Amino acid sequence: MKLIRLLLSALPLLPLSAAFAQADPAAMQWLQRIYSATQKLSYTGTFVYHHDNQVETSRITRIVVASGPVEKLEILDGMPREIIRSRDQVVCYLPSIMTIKIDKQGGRHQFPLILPDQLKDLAESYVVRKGEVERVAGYDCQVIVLEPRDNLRYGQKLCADLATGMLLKVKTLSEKNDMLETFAFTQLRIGGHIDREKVKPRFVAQAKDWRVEDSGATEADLTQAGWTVRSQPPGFRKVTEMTRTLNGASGVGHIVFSDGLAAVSVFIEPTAARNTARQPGLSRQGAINVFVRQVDSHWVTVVGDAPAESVKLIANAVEHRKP
Amino acid sequence: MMNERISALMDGEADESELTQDLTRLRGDGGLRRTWETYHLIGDTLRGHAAPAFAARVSERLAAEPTVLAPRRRAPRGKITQLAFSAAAGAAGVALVVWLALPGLNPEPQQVAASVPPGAPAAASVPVVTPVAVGVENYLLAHQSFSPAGAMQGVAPYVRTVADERGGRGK
Repeated sequence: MKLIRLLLSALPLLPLSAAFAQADPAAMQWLQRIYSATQKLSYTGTFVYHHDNQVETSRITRIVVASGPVEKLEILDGMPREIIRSRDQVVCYLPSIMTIKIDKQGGRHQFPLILPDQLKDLAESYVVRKGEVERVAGYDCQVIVLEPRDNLRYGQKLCADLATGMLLKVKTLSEKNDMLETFAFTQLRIGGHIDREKVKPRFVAQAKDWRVEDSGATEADLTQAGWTVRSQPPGFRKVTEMTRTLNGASGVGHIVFSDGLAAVSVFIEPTAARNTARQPGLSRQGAINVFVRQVDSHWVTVVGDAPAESVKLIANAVEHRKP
Repeated sequence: MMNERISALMDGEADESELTQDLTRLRGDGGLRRTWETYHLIGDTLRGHAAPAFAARVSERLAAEPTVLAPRRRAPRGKITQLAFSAAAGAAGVALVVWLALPGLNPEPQQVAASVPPGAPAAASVPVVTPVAVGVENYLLAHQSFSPAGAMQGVAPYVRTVADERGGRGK
C-alpha cells in the first residue's frame, strides 16, 4: 500500500518541471481538436464518473440528425435517470421524483456554450503541454496536461483519441495534486451507424403526468437590480448574465465567470423565495465547490468547478445597492 | 496519538505494557470506540469484506442516529434544517470512511476524524473537512452548460446534475 501511495503522489508531480513553460502550440492545437471532435463526432459508449467515494456508470450516445446533434446520457447505477441534450436545450428525466427538468438556452445560444477565443484565455491561466501516449478503452490517446499557474484553479489531465481527437479521459486534480474526479470511457465506438432510438428518452410515455420545471433562462442586466460582482480572481472574466427560474422561484439572477477552462456561476435569489433549508458556508462534490452567503435578504449561491478559494472570492465580491 | 494506538491495537501490534491501559480507555471513551469501529470498517473495506452497498447502509444508519455524530450543544433549528444536517453528516461520514480507505488520495486522516460533524458550530475550532453538497442539483444543472471544461466532454458532465434523489447524494 505504501508503494501505491508513493506512486500516486509522485505521478502528478512530474508536470511541475514545465511550470514556467509557455503554452505549447502543439498542445493548444490538440485542445482545438478536442473541441471540434466534441461538436462533430457520433459515438456510443460507457463511461464512469469517479468522485469522492463514488463511482457511477453511464451510457452515452451522440448522433447528428437533421435538426442537429442529439446526445443522450443514461445513468446505469441506482435509480434510472436520463438526460437528453439537443441543439438548444437539456432535458432531465427523473423518474424517482416524477420530474422533468428543462434548461433551454434562449435565442442564439447553442451547445456547447463556448467560443474558440476562450481557448486563448485559457493559456493565460494554465500551462498547456503534451504528455505521453496512453491507452484508454482500447484507444491510443494523447495526454494533454493543463497545469494551473496559481492555486485559484484546478489542473486537468486529458487523454484524447489519437485518430479522432475524441476525449476519452479527464482527470481533475486539486492544488495538492489529489484526484478530485475522473471521467473515463470504459467502452466506446466512434462513428459507424448508430440507431436513432438510442438517443430517444425512454420515459416519454410515462412522463405525461410528471412535474415539469423549466429554467426559462433569459439574458438580463442584473446591475439594473443593483447587483454587481466587485472583482474577480485573476484570469476570470464575466461570460454572461441572465435571469432564470430556480427552485420554483422566477427571476433568479445568474452571472457566469470563466477563465477559459473552469467556470463559476453566481446565483442570486430572494431569501423568502426558498422553501428548502439553506445553510451558509462551503460544501463540495468532486471538483465542484459551492459557497452560500446572505446579502441584503438574498441568498447568494456560488457554484464552480474551481477551488474553494476562487468560489469564495467571487461570492464575497457580490454587492447589492438599492437601484 | 491515540488513533495510532488504536490502529496498533487492531493490528495486534500494541505494546503489552500499555495494553490494559489502552483497553480501559477504549471502554470508557465513546469517541475512541467510534474510532475503533470506523477503523474496522476501513479494514473490512480494504480487505474487500464490505458489500458494495455498504456505503448506503452506513449512510442510512448514520442518518438514523443523529446523536452519534451531532455536536453536544446545538443551537435550536427548524426540523428541516436538522434533517438536512443529519443527511449531510451521514454523507460526510461515508465520505470519511472511504476517504480513509483509499490510500494516496488524502494525506491526514486524523484531521478528518476530528471533524466529523460538518457545519456544526463547534466544528469551527477544529480543522474542517468541507461537507458534501446537498440539494444543489438545480444549481449544477444551470451551471453545467457554461463550463468550458465540461463542454469538451459533451453531455457527460451532466451526470453531476442528477443525484440519485431517492437515496440522496450519498446513494
